[in-house]
Amino acid sequence: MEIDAAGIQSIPADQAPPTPLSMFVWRFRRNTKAVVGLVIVLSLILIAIFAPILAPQDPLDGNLSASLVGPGGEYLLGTDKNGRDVLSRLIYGARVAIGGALGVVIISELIGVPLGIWAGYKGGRVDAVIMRFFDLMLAFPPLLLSFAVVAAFGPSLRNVIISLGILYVPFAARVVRSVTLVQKEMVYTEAARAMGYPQRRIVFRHILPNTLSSVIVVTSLDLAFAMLDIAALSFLGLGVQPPTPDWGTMLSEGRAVLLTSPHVAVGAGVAILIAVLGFNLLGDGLRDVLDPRQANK
Amino acid sequence: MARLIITRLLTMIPLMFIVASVVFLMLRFVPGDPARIIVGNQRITEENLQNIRVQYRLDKPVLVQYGYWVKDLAQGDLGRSFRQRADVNTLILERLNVTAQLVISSFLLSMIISIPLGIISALRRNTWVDFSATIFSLIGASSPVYFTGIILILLFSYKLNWLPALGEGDGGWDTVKHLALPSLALGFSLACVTTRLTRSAMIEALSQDYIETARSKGLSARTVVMKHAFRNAMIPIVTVAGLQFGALVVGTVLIEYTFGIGGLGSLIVQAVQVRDYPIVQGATIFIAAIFILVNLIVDILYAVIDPRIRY
Repeated sequence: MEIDAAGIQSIPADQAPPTPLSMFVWRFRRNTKAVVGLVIVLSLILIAIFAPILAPQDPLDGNLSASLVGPGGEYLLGTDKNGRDVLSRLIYGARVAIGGALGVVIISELIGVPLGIWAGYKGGRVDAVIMRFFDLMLAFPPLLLSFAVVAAFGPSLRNVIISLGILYVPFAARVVRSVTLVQKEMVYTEAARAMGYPQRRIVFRHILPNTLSSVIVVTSLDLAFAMLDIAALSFLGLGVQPPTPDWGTMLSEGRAVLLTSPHVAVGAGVAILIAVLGFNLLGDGLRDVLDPRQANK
Repeated sequence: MARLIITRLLTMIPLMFIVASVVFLMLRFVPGDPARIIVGNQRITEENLQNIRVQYRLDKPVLVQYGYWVKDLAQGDLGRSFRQRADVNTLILERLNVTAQLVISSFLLSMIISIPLGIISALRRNTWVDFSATIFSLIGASSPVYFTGIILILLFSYKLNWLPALGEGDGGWDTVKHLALPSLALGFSLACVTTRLTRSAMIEALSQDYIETARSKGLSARTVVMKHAFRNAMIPIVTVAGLQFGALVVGTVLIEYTFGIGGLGSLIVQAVQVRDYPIVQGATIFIAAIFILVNLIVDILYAVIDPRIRY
């Protein structure tokens, strides 16, 4: 970590005054957590995109005569019980992990952001009803409610994404609501109202852009939670189904052969850990960068 | 206080009712014939299938089934399992003991690890103790609890051969030995979150004016930290400890599966896998009830810790 306290005064005087974006970049680069998180997240995204180029073997096609080979040698991280290359499966697993988590967060925010703005802007009874309902949802761990969905509609990645997406709605909505409550009382919003601007304009021009930084932080942290929840469901056999290469499923398969071939479970577990850590660090770091007051709490 | 408990218990009833109804209706509006789930892969005549439908009231319209179910629920009857020849109540009670032991020991372990660690981190802010505690808890919070469990199995069971890796033991010392690793895995995962929270709550409390006053009165460092700062830091800690009950329940499900423990968690997972709806909904409602009770206890604790809070 660079010396933060001294760094504050280190903008050279001969430079142009900082824009909000350059201020953001400058603060971001001084935040170790944010930078490490971003590096991990970007690497993961690149791995997911270029999986076919990066993977040394076919993730689905096993060589049964090379079942449960240990790490090192021809297979860098060894093979699983079907003789499939663990490294290649881990690389392809990044697609499911990131795609799944993104799906959950996109669904939750498409519903949660408008609901949060609506509740915060309207206030009164609308707000009370929506918030009571969310309290009820939050009173319960999302994973447990997904169990009921999976029991009803069967185990699949799609069902997991939809159910978690809906169960994550309160997370996004509550944050957006609290920002809306503050923005609604700001002088410029007041002025826009006094000038007779339509509500639509006030919401889209004044309130929505101001929720952006909170939404970014929530997105990053929710991606970490979603990744953990999807992996957990797959680990229990209730999410991604074999033979799709997926970290949670691989960990579950690895658990069955733990005594003889721990490399399968450890590889998958480390992959989940690094990915979740990356999104957690990025989210934590972004919160420090975007909202210094919150960070000191 | 008595009024608080009574009102909270009364608001619990509609809350429970909504949770129960949502779960029930979701499971009933699903395509497929539940009677077929009950028989599984057995060959069966249409007549016997019809008998099963009558026995489980599956021949009635969904709303009538719902009516019966609400009536049974009001009497504390969670119904009968589709697959196992037993009442859901019996199945839950059978499995409850080991899960309760797991939950309580994990919770205690997490407190024993996190509170001292959080206090020390806050007192020695920005030292190597603080940094290592922060990094440790960040990594721990990102590791799925079942992976933490698998690492503990590899280390303490396979490598060192100190503790058993699977099962719940046969009571007494054997159970303690069997539950040690699962409790540690779960307790450690929870501790990672609580450590960070205790640290920030303590830093907040230590920066207050009354700490300065207490110090200038010449009170010992110990009294200042424990009596003045920690007591005030307890409110956010208790809040999160209560909220963590959710993580604890989910963690128990995963940990039981990892360590092959036949508790409530494995009961639910098995039921989901074979679509044994009565168990899924019964266990969900049971956990919801405990959840609401835990939140009530947290509210009562507030008043005990902080006499300024009155209900």
